Amino acid sequence: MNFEITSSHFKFRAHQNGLSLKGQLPVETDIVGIFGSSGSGKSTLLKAVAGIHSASFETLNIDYNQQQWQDVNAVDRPFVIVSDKTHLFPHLDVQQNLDFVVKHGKKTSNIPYTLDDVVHWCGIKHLLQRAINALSSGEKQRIIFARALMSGKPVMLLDEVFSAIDWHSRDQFASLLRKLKRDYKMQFVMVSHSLKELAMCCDHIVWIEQGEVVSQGPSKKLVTQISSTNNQPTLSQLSVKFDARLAQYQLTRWQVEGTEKLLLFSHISDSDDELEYLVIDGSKVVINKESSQSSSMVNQLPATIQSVEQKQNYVLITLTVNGQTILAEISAMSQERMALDTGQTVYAQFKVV
Amino acid sequence: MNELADLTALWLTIKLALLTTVLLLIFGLPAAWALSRYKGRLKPIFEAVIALPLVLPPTVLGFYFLLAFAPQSFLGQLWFDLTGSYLAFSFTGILFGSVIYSLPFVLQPLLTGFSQINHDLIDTAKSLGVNGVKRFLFLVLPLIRPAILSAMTLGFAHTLGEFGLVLMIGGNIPGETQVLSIALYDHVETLNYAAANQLAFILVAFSFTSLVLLYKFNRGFGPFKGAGQ
Repeated sequence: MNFEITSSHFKFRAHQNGLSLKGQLPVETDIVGIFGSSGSGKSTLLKAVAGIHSASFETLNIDYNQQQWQDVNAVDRPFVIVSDKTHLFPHLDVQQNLDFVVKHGKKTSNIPYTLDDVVHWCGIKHLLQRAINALSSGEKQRIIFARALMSGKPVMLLDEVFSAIDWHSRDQFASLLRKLKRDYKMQFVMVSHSLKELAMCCDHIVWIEQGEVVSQGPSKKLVTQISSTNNQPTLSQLSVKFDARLAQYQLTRWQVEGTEKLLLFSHISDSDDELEYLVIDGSKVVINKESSQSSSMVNQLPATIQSVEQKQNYVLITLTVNGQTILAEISAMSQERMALDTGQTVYAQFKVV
Repeated sequence: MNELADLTALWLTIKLALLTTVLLLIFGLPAAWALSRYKGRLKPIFEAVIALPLVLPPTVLGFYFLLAFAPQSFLGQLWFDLTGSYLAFSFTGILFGSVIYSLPFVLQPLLTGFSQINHDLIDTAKSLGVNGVKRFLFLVLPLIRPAILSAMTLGFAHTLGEFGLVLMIGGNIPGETQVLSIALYDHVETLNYAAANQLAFILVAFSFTSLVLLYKFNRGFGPFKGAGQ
């Protein structure tokens, strides 16, 4: 999907240039994330694609599936948007909200999954008979997502849709998106100001600030790039392959992509996807010069130091593990004591993720 | 004889009030919906036209209707050509008059109802692939149900009490244009206070009951905030 949007009516807090967004969302192959601080224009982009906007743009081009969509009514576009402006219908209960779309939606005749499937995936079976005003905001978000799935539209535009849901469940929704993509060819664009959320499920990230695309590319590259600059936690995204479920410990064992020898452990997940992303928090990575079995850390990967950078209040160590990047934050004191340097082989250790 | 005439008047009044309400809903719902979404420069003009019957004396309306309904007028002529009957001093004539006369009482609550709908709900339905007609029928109308109930009750009750306009354009023809309020006036003129009392009581009872029902049942739906989380 290609997009081009310009508007001089938009004013940004620190920036008077208006909006000038141009780029590509490779939804056909990837789950696409859009990162940006609030007010950066990322929601505006999503609304423009969905056809739900009151703003006037000087240029508006939405090119998807060899067709121009900017002049097509939102009803007939293949995009369904879910955002903070998406509400449940207050005069209907939960079940009726879902039925409303199935009954009255234009594109609901060929949905390859059933309402029961969706209810199960989203974990909302116990909520079906509830009135809308008896729901928590997290429950609302689950139902709103489920209802959008029943619209039958192939491209979902998700704007901070899991913000009121706990991280463990967000992880499950990340797996659900991958499953929907794999099994039903659904496509996703996901907007968030949380890099961690995007790192959990996106393959490609577009970074928008102050009405312009700053950078875009494979999420591994962008996660590293954004985490060291943008007031975000230091994160790295690691591709892993399902290996085994260790029910007795409530853990899942994963192989680092491309090798069967390097194993990682995470909290148990429902997913047995071929490929998943694990997100590793750089402030929780310990660097050890020797392999160690005497610590409680279960994850330990041999790594090569790529670079050592002095940041304001920590030292950022960039490590490579079988071609993938892991970032680690250590204190200047540790750096002085250990004298870490580019090219050294060390062990990156961290707890269950 | 007198009793029978009064019953006829009662039935005529109810028929007039019901038909007026139904006609106003049929035309008023789409019109109010369109006007609530219209943001153009002419909006105050439209709103004024709708509110005008509220402030004009019924005789002014009646006078203009009389001119318009006259057989030699354009409308009177057209109606005659179409139906073979005259509008002035006929039931159809007072029905026309009532529709205009009660218009603000139906349109105002509908406009308020429509304008209180959270537009995000409409956008949500659009993006879910629900087209305009279905959005209106299955989302907008249920959302403004309290407003529709208000509009119906007010339109009905207000038509019940109509007097001056009917007198001007309908006269006092039993079974055709003699509504309750006019029959009442007739009784007072002929000093038949007992019969007048009866009719007056019926009118009060009818209007009071419909308003009580409105307030009782509309409360359950709450003040129609329309929307959202």
